[in-house]
Amino acid sequence: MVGRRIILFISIITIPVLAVQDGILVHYGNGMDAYRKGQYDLAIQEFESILSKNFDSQELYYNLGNAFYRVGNTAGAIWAFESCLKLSPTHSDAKYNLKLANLKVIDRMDLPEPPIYLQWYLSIKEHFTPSAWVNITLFIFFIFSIMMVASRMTSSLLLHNIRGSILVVFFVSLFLTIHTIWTDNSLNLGIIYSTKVDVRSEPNPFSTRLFEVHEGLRVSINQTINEWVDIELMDGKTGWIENDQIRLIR
Amino acid sequence: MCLTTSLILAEGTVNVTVDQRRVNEGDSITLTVSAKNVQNDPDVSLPKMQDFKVVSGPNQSSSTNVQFINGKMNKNSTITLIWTLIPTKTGQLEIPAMEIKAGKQSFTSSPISITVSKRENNQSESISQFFVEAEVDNNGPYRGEQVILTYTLYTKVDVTSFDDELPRYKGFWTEELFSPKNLQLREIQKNGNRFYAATIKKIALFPTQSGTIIIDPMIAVIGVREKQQRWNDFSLFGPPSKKNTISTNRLVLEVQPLPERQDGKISAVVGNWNIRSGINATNMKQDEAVTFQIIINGTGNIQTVDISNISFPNELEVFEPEIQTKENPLRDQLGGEKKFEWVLIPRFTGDIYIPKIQFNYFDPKEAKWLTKSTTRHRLKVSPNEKVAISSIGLSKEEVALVGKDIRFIDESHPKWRDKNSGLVTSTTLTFLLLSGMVFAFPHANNFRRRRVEQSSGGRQARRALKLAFTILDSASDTPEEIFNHIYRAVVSFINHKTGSKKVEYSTGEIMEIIQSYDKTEVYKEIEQILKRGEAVRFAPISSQDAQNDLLEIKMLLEKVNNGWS
Repeated sequence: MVGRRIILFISIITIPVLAVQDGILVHYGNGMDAYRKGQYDLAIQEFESILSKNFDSQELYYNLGNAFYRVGNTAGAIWAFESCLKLSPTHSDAKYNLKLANLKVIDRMDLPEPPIYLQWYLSIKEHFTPSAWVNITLFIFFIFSIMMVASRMTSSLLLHNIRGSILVVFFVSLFLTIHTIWTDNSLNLGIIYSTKVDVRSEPNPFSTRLFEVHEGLRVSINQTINEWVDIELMDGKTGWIENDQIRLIR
Repeated sequence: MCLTTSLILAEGTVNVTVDQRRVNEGDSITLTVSAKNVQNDPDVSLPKMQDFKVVSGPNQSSSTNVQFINGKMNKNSTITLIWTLIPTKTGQLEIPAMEIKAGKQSFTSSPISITVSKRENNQSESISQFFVEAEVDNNGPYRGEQVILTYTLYTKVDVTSFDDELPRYKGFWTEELFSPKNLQLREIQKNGNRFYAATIKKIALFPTQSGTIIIDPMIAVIGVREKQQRWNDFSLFGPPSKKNTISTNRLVLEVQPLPERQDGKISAVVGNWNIRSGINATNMKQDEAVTFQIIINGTGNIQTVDISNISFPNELEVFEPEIQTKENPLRDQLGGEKKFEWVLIPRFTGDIYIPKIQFNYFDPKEAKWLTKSTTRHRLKVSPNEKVAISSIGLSKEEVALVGKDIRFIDESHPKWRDKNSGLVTSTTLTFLLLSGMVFAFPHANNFRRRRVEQSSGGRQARRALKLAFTILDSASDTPEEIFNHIYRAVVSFINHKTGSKKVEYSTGEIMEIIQSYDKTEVYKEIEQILKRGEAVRFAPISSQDAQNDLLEIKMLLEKVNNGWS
């Protein structure tokens, strides 16, 4: 009797989840089929419907980016590839396709390269997602705890030294984890989605037009007020645009 | 006026009349229902007329005439309902019978036959004094080909006003070419008769579908000066004129579909077109803008001409084109010139070629698809020193990507993620748990060992008295043996109680231990017994006394055991 109740309880919990998963798989399968047949608009529609159900994956973003690229939607392609790289920063195909899509962006901004040590640090930091960094740090802590127990039990000098080294690695990893999480929470990015956008000095359509940006440009977002978004370009320029002219990378 | 039907009612009469029974194509007829001396307004339900179009009506009017004859008053009242009808085809047509209700009585009129003649067949006696004719320059155009529809007014009388109501031109995209504010009359011969003619409207039609398309007649209300009456010089309202409703002939077009293309290129442009291109500079420096133009001119629907989606070389940054359309000012045929102007910025040095731009269209005169193209332009781009310092062009890595295609889709099975999930995953929790467990392991082990030891000592202590009694019970009858067992029993008792494993204790040590754990005074009696045991080798004691000490030590150890803390 108790067993039946447990099975019923598990079913009530899991059946809706599995049903949603099934729907996602159908949409994903339809989208992939449409892409293979060259029906890119239909593929986009199917992939977007999965995103609207609050599910995503690096494969979904990558394939969505390809579909956007095929229909000539540069902004959509860049947004999708950036979203893919946010989930999987080492996705080489997404990096390659993003570079191709960025060739079509009108607004090009190059900043001076940072010092080599900073490049190393950033390349290590941005090699993993915040979630991966948390797991890495906890794994190192797990190894450290094993070494600590082993060194106490055997009182070996070698184990003692290894334990010390692992502790140093642990603190470095902890620092990177905290920095990655902080960056992820504080830096909001978006892609300009309209062909041409007038950037204004205030969040209203009657304010001064400061400059214009074009589709596909990656900008950071400082704040949002009602229907307006305060954007900042890589070169430090800031201004307001309407929120339907930008798509946020979440 | 032609009296057709007269219905005699109890109170009065109802007449159904038409003004003429023989008309020309496009002329209107007036259908009148007049009720004389009826008490109620006549209720007329107009039948469904397939051969006529009702362009106005019913217009109702009433009149009353009162006369006194020989002191008697005669009163006549007349109610008149008028419709204006235009025949929709030629031949022998019929106005069907009409249902007329006047008061409580209901009557049905007789059908009225009307003869409608084609205008070309007109005999001299039935020539219309004025009419409007619609004609097209091509009755069998291709889909998308321009057809000019012209409305011409022919008149023999003075026209004082002209108001038209154009049809909807279903199946066409239209553009008005000519619509004069004043009629410009010219004298011409039409079917052997002299008329004054004026072009009223000229419209460019572009069929949007193939097959048979009908252009409905245009309805016009024309004001004609009446000859019989002289204009009173003192009249405030000018010369009198009569309004007449007329319509044009109906036109039928057989629109041919565009022929299939062999090369698979798709275009909706039909007409006669030319294309040319130009560039304001062919030698320039990197990142200097140039203007590239493509001009397409000719006749046809210029709105369908579009070549804004051109693939320029990737070495050029291309801005949105500016498109200017200049329509033909003469307006005989729709057409003109469309100019596309791009601003191009070469981002690389070297020779950059703007390829030939092809323009595909269907030429209805030649009845075939044609492709015209611009010339190829070569841009010689030299390095720009300023740009070399702060280049916003493509990097070397990006240049290597120019012309490449994206990588194929990822076919692997996706690992779905709930977008609302946070940083903590099941892996995170597993590592956290494992680390905690490993960290706590030595402490837990120590704790467990202490607990085991503690529990083991307690068990030993609980067994101390029992073991001591076993030793005592195993003693033989000899006094030396009894006291020897008493000593061993006390030592065993102490060892089990304290967890010690010493083999020998002095009497002082035993007393010290018992005194520290036992708060009762029994240790003194134990000390006496132990001392008697030491002395038994030198001062013999009876077996009975030894047995008594054995019993007493049992009792004392039990007391110590109970008071042990």
